[in-house]
Amino acid sequence: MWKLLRASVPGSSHAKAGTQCQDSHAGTATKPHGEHFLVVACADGAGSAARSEEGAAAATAGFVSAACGFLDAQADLTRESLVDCFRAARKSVEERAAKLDVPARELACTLLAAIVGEKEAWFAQVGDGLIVVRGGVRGNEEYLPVFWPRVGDYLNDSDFLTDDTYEKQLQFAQRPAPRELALSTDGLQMLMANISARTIHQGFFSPIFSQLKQAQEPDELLVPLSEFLSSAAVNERTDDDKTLLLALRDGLR
Amino acid sequence: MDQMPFGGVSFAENPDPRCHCVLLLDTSRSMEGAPIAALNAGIKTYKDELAADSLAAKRVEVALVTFGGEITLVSDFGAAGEFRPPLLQPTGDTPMGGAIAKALEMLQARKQLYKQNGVQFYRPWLFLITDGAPTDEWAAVAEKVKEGEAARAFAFFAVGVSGADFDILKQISVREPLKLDGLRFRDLFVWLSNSQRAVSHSKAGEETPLENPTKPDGWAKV
Repeated sequence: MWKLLRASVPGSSHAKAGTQCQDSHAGTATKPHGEHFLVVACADGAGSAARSEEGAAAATAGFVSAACGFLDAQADLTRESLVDCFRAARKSVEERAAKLDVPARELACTLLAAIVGEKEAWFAQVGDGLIVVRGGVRGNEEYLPVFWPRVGDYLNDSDFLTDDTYEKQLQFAQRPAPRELALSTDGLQMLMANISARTIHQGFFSPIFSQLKQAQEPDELLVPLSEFLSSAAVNERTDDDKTLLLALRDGLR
Repeated sequence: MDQMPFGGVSFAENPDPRCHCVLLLDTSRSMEGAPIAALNAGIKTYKDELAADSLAAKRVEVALVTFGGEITLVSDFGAAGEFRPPLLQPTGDTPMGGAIAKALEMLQARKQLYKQNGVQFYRPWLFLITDGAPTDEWAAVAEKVKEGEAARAFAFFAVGVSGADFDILKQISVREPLKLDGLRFRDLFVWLSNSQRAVSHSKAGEETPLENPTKPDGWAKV
């Protein structure tokens, strides 16, 4: 029911410095009790934290596994359940840190996540990054952000899942289920949104989703997507790690 | 299948994010001779290093305020690539307190301008270099520095050249004041430009770790 395409590529500055990509992503479609659900997450490991790629991987996997647990248990989804999934994600990060024998802050990362059912969708985010949706609201076919980056924040001053205050920073939204969904770490933010006008750049998403719609198998776009994310045109505008997770509802409604 | 499936994707146009900084330099009479010559050379190095980095040249915005006899705005905020290093002349006493107050106001006003114009920005820096002690009132401004640091409104760095009053600097700066090794202004400004280059390249969402200037071959002593 969902076409899912996701890729992370290292930023040109990281490639230059020989460090690996510190972004991560995870996602799955599931049908626990007759209803189709999509569970997705992406995370951006802090460049200032030594093992943040481990943190980003643990956080995304931890979220997806906890969310699937909620869906299996047929629990009502609320803000509190999303917060619980973030707690589970943080616990995964802490456990990974303990295994690596380093403080959890060395695994600092952001976390963006969504659970999309057939009618409703739940979104949550700690730190930078952008979740963009289309469809679900009658009469509006625009790509719209779920959360805007908070105004007046410094670019180099993000919240992380490993912060003590992360639950307070967590943004949550419940919306009608979209047909198209994109999650991205902040590396692509300046390419996807006009920050001052607070609008999403439609020309970024329309061509991408139209390719995904045409594809027989989403995986055939995996190499082109990675190549696009690493292209000179993109790298001229950002030297950061880049993650793009795309989901398209297929065949339903 | 199309060779370039994502060739049709276009990008949003956004102004470059800015990283603004006030250099607050002591040009009192005691800087006469070798110190002022080394400081002037250091500022030139700073400009050259930033200008050589195309991204930093656009994103780092530098203003220069001196305090020697009077408080002078030598150069207002502008892209580092277009910054013209002045030839500073030492004169008079050390109105450091007033100079810091002026710099704090400038940082705040610049931040407002960025916000009004939808320009994203990094936490600004205030970089103080002195070889003496304030000859004016400084206690009130020291409080403002503490408040600003606590609110993450800016990062305040103080560097003392030989002769500087470190007891007072410690009361003004929340961060440990750094002691310049001899007259290594050049190394100091190379470090400063490197740090700002790193910040201006840094991704949204993180503090950039600075290279420790007090390491064995660094320009500062503890």
